[in-house]
Amino acid sequence: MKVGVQTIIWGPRPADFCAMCDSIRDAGYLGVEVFQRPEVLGSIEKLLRVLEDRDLELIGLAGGSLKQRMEFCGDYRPGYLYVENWNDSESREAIRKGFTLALHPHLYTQIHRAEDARQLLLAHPELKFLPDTAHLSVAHDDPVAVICENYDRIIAVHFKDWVSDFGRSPHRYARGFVELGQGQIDIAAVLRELKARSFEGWIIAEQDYSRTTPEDSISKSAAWLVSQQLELRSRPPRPATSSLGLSYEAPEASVSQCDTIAFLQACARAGSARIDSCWATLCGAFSQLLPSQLITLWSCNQAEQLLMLVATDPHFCPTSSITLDVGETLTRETLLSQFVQLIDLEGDAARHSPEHELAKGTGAKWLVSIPVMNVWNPHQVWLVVNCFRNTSELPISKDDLFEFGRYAGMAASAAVAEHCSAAATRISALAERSKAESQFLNELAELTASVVGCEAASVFLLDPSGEKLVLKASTGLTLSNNAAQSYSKGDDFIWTALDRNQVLLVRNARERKDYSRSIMEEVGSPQLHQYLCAPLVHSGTQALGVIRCRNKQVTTSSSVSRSFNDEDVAVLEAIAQAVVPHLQMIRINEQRIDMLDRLTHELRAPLTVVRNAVDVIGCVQGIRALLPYDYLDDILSWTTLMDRLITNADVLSRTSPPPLEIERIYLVKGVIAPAVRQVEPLLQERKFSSKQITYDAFVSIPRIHVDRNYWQQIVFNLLSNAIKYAYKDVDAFRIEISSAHIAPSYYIYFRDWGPGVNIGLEERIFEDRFRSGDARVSVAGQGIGLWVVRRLVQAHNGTVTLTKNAAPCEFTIVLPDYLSKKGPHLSDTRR
Amino acid sequence: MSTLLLLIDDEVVANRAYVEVLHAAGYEVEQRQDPDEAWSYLESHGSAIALVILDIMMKAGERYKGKPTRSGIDTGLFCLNELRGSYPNLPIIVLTNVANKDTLARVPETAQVHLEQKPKCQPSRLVGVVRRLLSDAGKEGGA
Repeated sequence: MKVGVQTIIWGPRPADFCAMCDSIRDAGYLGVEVFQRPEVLGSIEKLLRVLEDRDLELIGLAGGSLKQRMEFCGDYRPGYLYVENWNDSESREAIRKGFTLALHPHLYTQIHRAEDARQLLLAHPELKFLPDTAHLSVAHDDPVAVICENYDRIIAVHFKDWVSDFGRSPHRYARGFVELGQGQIDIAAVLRELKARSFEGWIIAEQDYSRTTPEDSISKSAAWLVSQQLELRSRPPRPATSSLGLSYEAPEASVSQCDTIAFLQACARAGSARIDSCWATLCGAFSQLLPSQLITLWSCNQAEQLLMLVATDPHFCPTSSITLDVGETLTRETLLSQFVQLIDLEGDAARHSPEHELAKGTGAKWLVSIPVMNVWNPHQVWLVVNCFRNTSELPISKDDLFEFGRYAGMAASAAVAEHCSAAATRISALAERSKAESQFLNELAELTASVVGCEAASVFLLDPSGEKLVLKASTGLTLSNNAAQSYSKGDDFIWTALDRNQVLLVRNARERKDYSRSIMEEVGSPQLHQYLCAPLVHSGTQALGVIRCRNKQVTTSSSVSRSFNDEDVAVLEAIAQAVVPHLQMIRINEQRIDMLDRLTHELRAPLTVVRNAVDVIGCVQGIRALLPYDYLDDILSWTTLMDRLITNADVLSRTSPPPLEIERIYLVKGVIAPAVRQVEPLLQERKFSSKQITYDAFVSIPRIHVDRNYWQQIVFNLLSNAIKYAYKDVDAFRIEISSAHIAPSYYIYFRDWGPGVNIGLEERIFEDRFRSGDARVSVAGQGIGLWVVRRLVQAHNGTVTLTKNAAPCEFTIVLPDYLSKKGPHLSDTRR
Repeated sequence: MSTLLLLIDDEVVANRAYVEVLHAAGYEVEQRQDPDEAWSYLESHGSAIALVILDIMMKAGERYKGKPTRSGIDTGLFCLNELRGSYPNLPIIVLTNVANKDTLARVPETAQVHLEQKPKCQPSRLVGVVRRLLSDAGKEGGA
């Protein structure tokens, strides 16, 4: 096995090609697969000389069209020519001329998945295979399985790593490429397979762009390869740079600094705008830069070979969406060459083109077509700016126009990233305020429709059997009365999105065999039937459901698209990615609540039976006199205590503040006296007496609006804590409860003469499940009593703090004195 | 003739003390263990029933199958809403072991509906509540 590197990470025009090769050699690689286009490289002789000087082998050529590369090579035959789009005539010619073609499945190209490559490999036995670990994995193929199946055709393997943080949408997925070993692709497994088969071809480290510098990234990848026991070259002394070295010198700029700054400012504005505004701003920026009769901005979908109009200058207002088949357009030259094209609209080839049609009435005779490259994917054309002009003279050089296209690409990337990030943030905020799954899903449907900009949005979740996707929430959708609310497995294309674990864009649902009749039951069936479906999948394996959007809406006057485009895919995917963990948490929380409800119900049931029995027995005349001790009251006290503990557990489990049932009560009569009675069993256990608990008449606190049950809980917990931790000396046991009113607050003081609280733990004692070391050893309990007290006091807009550590230990509760007039919150229920 | 009460609760043994004490107080108590049985009885005897005692947690049955009962945890709440709609003058006591305050908050305290929690509401107290509600509704009967 030999190890090389792909030069794409230096972009289409490296500042110094020789320095680039030096870095590659210094990093230890033995060969290069060259990404740069022939016009950048100069000549094959120069290229070979530069590489030979650095003891680097030319593995293959990847940049430019097949025709360009063949012309560049002349009689020379490199290891292979990389192919990711299949052009039958060009490919056959290349093979006939003795070139080796290496088929590379690449996301969102004609050869998108391993299956596409398999068909071509079967049809053309002379083709070689160039699998890529990341492209295969992201397309949900198994790289190891693909390599095993096609091993005898493999000429080299691209090792590429990737993280799923930015999703799989056509324009964003490439942002996830990272140095080898930093991502989630199991490249080590691929390497093991190749080693097991004693693979003798090339392993090529590839990364489309670097977050630091290309030199840094390739070094990191080299280090990982070495850690996998691959031999790279040990670094030789650095030779003097050949005087025949190849370097690219940027030509003098043909644009004034002012114009450049103005364009960059427009790009900065575009980058922080909504996506449709971004397109409009970029269109306007090009209009300023290159005044034209008409300017149009198109989004490219290379997988489907479509161009979708996304913005125009304001005076051109098409009444419907315009989507073109790339093969029928003049713009295809721009996509193939990935460079600026100047095209004669009056030429024979142009007369029947859609661009010629668009130019009618504008007086334009020439088309200047500028590619906007994807920042994260240097050989992907993201957008195309088509400027219709009445002259072939270009005030700006093609090279400069290309650079401006790159700046526009940066703005587009920023706008999409911002849009996706904002959507994810809104999902988090939505999850935080949602009290139940149903609320979350309803608001999610609204948010999705708003963010994606579609007519209707629906959320489907898998039922427990996993066989049906059930409609849980929707907006903008009106179904007839007998419409199905769920789709069985395989019944509808939303299942396809789930099965593929990928966003599905359906341009015309009615043409699909898996178009459920249920959708036809939508009342007021729409004109268009475009859908965008994003699967909700947890950890890549656990399917939860699908979010479905129907028909894009026009948003601004200068944005014309009524088709879903790749940016909508990106933002919907971002929404789906953000939704899943929150949905899981809401579900887990709901399941926990359900479980707790059942548990508390189960625990209370026997208590009820026992207390009811005591009630019935107590009615038997004279029974109490027969008993040597008031066992019946004992049973009632202990069962009340048990009920208190169950309530504690119930409060503990709730993540949201407990709702209050407000009554206007005197604290002594309604709360303190009953709580003292309820701790009677605990007092008896310690041989204390309730007479050792004293409280004043609370004359300073009138009747106040509180939840009686919760306040009994508060007092009960404070008392039971004091009893539990009291000294063994019976005579030393003492609890005092007193009150005060110092406007605008009421104060309630709990004092006990137990061991108190160690200094430094004044706040920690209120933490859930906190118990000091001593307490853990000597006293039974779970450490939740004071946590519950604080939660319940805070639910009344009050505070509770430890105001004295010992002798006595004092807790002070402070309540707002408006409780004498009203409850803590407007939403409190009253009983 | 004794005043007829309908008890809708799936726990028979646990409710024995309530039923016996209500009998002793002169009330006739019919117990049905799920909403399907209860509504079947209501449809045939509705006008004779003076008061309903209703639990919250029980199986949803066919009647509330598609409702979000949380697998039966909230069944009684759906039954309560339907009872209030169909029998607006019928007094209802919701008698439950459910401790969840959010669930209990969904039981409206009105002249018609009264909430009691089981461990605290012993049979003797329940009799008192039944008497008071029947008296308020002008349906005095029994003891």
